[in-house]
Amino acid sequence: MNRFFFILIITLFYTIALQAQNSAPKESDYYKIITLPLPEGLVMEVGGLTTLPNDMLAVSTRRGEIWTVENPYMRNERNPLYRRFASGLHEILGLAYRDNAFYAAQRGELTKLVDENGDGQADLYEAVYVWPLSGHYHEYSFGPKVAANGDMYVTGNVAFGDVEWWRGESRVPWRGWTMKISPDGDMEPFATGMRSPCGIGMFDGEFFYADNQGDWMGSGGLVHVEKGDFTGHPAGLRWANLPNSPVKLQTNDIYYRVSPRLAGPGQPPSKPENIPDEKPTPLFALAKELPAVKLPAVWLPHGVLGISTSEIIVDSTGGAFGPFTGQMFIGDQGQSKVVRVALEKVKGSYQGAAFGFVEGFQSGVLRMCWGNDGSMFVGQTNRGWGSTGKDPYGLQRLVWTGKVPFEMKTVKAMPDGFEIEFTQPVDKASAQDPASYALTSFIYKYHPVYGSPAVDNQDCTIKGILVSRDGLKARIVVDGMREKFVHEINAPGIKSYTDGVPLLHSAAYYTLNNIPDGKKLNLADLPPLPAPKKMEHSNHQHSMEMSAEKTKKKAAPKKKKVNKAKTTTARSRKRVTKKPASWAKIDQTIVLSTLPGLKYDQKTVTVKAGSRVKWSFYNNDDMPHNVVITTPNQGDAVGTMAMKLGIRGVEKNHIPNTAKVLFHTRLLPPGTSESIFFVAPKKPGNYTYVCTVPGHHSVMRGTLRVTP
Amino acid sequence: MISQVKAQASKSTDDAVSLDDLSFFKDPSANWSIVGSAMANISKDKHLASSPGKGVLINLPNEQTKGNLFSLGEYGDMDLELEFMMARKSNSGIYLQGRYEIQLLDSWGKQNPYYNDCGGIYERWDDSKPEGKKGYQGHAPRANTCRAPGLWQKMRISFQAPRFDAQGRKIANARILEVWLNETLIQEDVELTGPTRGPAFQEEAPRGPLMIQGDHGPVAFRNIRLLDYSKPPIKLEDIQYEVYYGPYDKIPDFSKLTPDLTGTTEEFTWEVARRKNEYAIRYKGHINIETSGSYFFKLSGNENTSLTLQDSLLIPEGWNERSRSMQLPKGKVPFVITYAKREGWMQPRLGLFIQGPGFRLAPTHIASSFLLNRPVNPILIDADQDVKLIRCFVDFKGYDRSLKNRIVHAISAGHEEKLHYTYDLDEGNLLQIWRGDFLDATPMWNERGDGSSRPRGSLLELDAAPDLWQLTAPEVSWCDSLDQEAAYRFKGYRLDEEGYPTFQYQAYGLKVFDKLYPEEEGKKLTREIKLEGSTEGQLHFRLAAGSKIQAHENGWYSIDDQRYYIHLHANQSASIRSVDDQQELLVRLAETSEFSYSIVF
Repeated sequence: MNRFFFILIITLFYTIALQAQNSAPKESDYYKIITLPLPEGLVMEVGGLTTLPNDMLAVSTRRGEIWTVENPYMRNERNPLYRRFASGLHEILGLAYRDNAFYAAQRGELTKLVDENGDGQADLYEAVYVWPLSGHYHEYSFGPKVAANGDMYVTGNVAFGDVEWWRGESRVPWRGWTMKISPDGDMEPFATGMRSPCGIGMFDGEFFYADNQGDWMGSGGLVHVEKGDFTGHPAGLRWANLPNSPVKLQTNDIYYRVSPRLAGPGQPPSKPENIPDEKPTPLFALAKELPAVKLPAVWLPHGVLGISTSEIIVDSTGGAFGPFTGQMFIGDQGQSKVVRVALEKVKGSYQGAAFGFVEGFQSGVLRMCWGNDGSMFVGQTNRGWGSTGKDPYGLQRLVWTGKVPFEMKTVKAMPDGFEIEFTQPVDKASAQDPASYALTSFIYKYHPVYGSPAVDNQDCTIKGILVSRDGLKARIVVDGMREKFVHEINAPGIKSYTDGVPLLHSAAYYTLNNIPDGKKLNLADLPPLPAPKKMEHSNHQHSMEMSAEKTKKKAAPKKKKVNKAKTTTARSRKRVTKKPASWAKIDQTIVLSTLPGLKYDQKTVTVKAGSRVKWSFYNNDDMPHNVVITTPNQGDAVGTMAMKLGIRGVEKNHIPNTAKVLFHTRLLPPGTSESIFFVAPKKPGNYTYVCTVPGHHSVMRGTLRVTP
Repeated sequence: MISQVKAQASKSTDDAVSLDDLSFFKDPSANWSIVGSAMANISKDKHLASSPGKGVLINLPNEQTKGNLFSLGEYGDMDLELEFMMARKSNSGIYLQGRYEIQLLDSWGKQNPYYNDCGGIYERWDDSKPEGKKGYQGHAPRANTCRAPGLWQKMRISFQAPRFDAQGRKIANARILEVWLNETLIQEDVELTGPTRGPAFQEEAPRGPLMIQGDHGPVAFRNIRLLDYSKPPIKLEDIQYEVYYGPYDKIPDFSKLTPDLTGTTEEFTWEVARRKNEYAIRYKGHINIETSGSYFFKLSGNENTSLTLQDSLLIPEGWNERSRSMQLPKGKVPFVITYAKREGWMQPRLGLFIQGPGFRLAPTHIASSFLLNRPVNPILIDADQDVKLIRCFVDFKGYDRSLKNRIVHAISAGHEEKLHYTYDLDEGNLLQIWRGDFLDATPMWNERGDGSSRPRGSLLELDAAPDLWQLTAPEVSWCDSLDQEAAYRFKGYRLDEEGYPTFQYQAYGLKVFDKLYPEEEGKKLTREIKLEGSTEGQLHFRLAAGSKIQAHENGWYSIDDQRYYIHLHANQSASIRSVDDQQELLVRLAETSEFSYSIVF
């Protein structure tokens, strides 16, 4: 090779490498996603995942099979080998291995599978315990998770009504419950209030579960489930009067306090919708009166840290997976990602903080487990629900690169604020500056409506900051902490000491169920805070939601001023829901609706430049959607901006304030519709329409062709 | 497919061919006679026994007398329904118009059917071609759903005659629209370019007599219905329409509205609305009834439709497909059809089908008004050399929206012999057996699915009651499901070396082992029951139940008026019990701790 040429290449290489280093850190700099190849034709819709003592991986699937995977680490540069261990089970959504046997929850049975003759395939399919079903499609069962003594936890989804298709119902005993089943097949009803309890896991020997947003479920959240608990969805209470029920709460205890909005006698049933102006009732209001009501230890804000939580696993790798030993990782099906939770126990109860961790998996993350090299296997499917990752299913492995990301490692509650621990020392000046932080608190409604906006928002003020000498901790003294509320602690201004980079994930969501007792800091001992300066930050730029407004009007002088008039004008121009009086006629009517699996029913819509368009959107899906028409090729940009709206997203219909948004509908709950009126762009070209509900934009989109 | 059973007008006795005598037929030869019952011996070739009486047409040919049987009447388009019984290794055929043959044959147990197997469309024949190339265009059935000799089998044929112009030149070939054998669609829309081999008439014609082949062996028939469909379907005439724009989720009160569009049309279609959504249409016109009688109306639409005839609301407002019959006099009958369309996610779709005296169910709309809803790619499970076990919901006797027929802990086993079964794990009950392909898992695995799969083949439905029960008194009806006293508990199953499962459960303090496997290339399903524990009292195992059970020699029983057989294996005994207008075949368990039998069909 020509020497000069060689040097040129080397120089080029270094230039590129340097540039890469200087650009903002990405998740993939620290954690690599490796996709396992699958044999063609193997529909690996993962329902359960576990590692085996012999270095193999085992996977259970929706199609009722269990596969063992040899060399899933692809050592020796060889492909994994897949062997079918069992087949014919009913939509398995869990898998465990113990004492030479597999355990898997089918829809209606906990099954033990044993290879008795040693040919690598199950011969004995033993029914450990059979539970009733009505045969409704939504009656999925999850598990088992195995306790130290061998007891197994299995959870069950509710069904939905036939006429009231939006209402979760428990048609037969133990739907909407957690069951505890001994290896001998004795079943103990354990707790209820579950709606869609796909997320299950053990922590500290205790059983935890994570539900999905839905009716009576304002948002996903992580719950420590103890015997006799009620976690929120009232359907399962139907069986609380059975003799072996440990839950003593009755349905009317809930309905008496929060109306289920059932149809009156002789009235046709109608789907409950969010009432924007009402005084919200959060779940904690009931918990004060009803001790059996168990609050989430950690809320996982809907749309921000997932939309459909799944597996819960605890980092037991002893550091092989990075700096988060002992913390929890929770998968999310709809957003194809994994989030992280740091728990602590305050006044006897678990609470803690949730953080973003890694996104970008190939399909919906349903199950995770630890490989014995400390990597994380991630089993995936989107089975008719859709997910940000476009593949219908897949199997991947998440491997730590050895580089420590700059993250908030933990957030702990303090009597007067929070203590943030970082994975790397901070640049003290940035950590000492209150403008580097933004704190706000909110909660969700407890009502029979599907989901809830974040309500009762209130900003917190930082009174003082103490950064530890080693730069690994910042203790912030906060005015306006509220017990039971979720506190968004955003620290976009903090830089790392070594590299000067911002936090990889700037926000933590701390659920403050209890404020600990103890010594408060003396403000006089802390470094003086600089004079406040205006911080440009997305969460505050647009903070003008009604509930925030209301709080402000009442008695919250600390609220930031917002330019209401301007935003309102912008909104009304981009979302005109009545035919403008000036229009003599509508030139074109577009009707758009949805297909299952995050799809619009039309991939292309064509309109004439400058024509008067009526655009009707029918959300016939069972999750909320909107339609946002953007300038050419800006669907991704707008979708990403919408995701950054954080917990205020729902209030804003997931519409970011940007010129890239031309027109949009409101956020439409399932089964509703809206028509908007607009004049098509004068400039011909391919515009984009996209759903900006977090996790949807990369798949749920189409092209608006504007023709001359 | 099983699920595609057609909506039909109520059966009229006029269509039934009387088998009180042979007067329907033209100069029948002596091999044809009317008897009261027929019976085959499963191990004796070309043998049918009979008893005197009426209602069964039997053919008992010999070397001298073996004439084919012709109807007196001649037919063009027609549907033919009948039950038939083959003697072992016997052969017959149904010749439509005396020209086009649907084969009848004892094809029992044959794995891959040919054109000359039961339900096949027989080949055409050209003597001018060299040997081995004379036969052509035979069409094999989709599956072999033929049952055992001596069992009554059901066949339904829909036939469309060839069409000729005024000069008598053929302008369209004859078609076999459908052939159903034992409730399974085995032929669909097969064009016939000319008569099949051995026709009574070489020249094609608009009409011809029905012919039944008599020269190849004994065969019996009963319950023959012949529906002559040679009249043209009726049309909607003088259609006037009014279109009202607006998001109507119900049919509006039109009297309070002003239409946005009005007009007349020759073609009945929603497309007169000139948009896909947010409108209501009212159509008015009349139909011209030439023959008074019962007419059957099937109205189908995406979103709300209704049908009014002669000022009475025949089919009230509703979604999807609904149907009703009505007696109509000769003359002009006014109709009103309404349609309201709102939901953007549904394609507009509107159709009205009418069936009446002399014509089969036919659309009155144009094709573009009734395009298919989005079809999905089917997910099919076939059984190969491994025994396939699939747990899923099973809708016994068909899907019902209320899920009342849904067996929630069911397992289906598929075998390469093309004989499969479903077992109810909640009751220890053999629910159904079928012959053909294994399962359609599309309802379970497409998108979210509903957890259920459907059999693909010819079903032998048994019953949903448990097989094992403590008979509390001799005359008491068998239970529908087990009570708490049984303390039933499903324990799982173990696979043997060949992959066949033995189901295990506990009931009445016993351990029960229940093993099932096909034998003789799928001619029978054999079941071995073993019990552990003491069997006291009146614990019984019910092998079968049906309208009539007859005992034959060597442990053979025919069940439910010759619908299927039970063969109880050697040195075992069972008794027949009559209760509630039905009969049951029972094994008393105090006398045995182990027994086996086969279900043969």
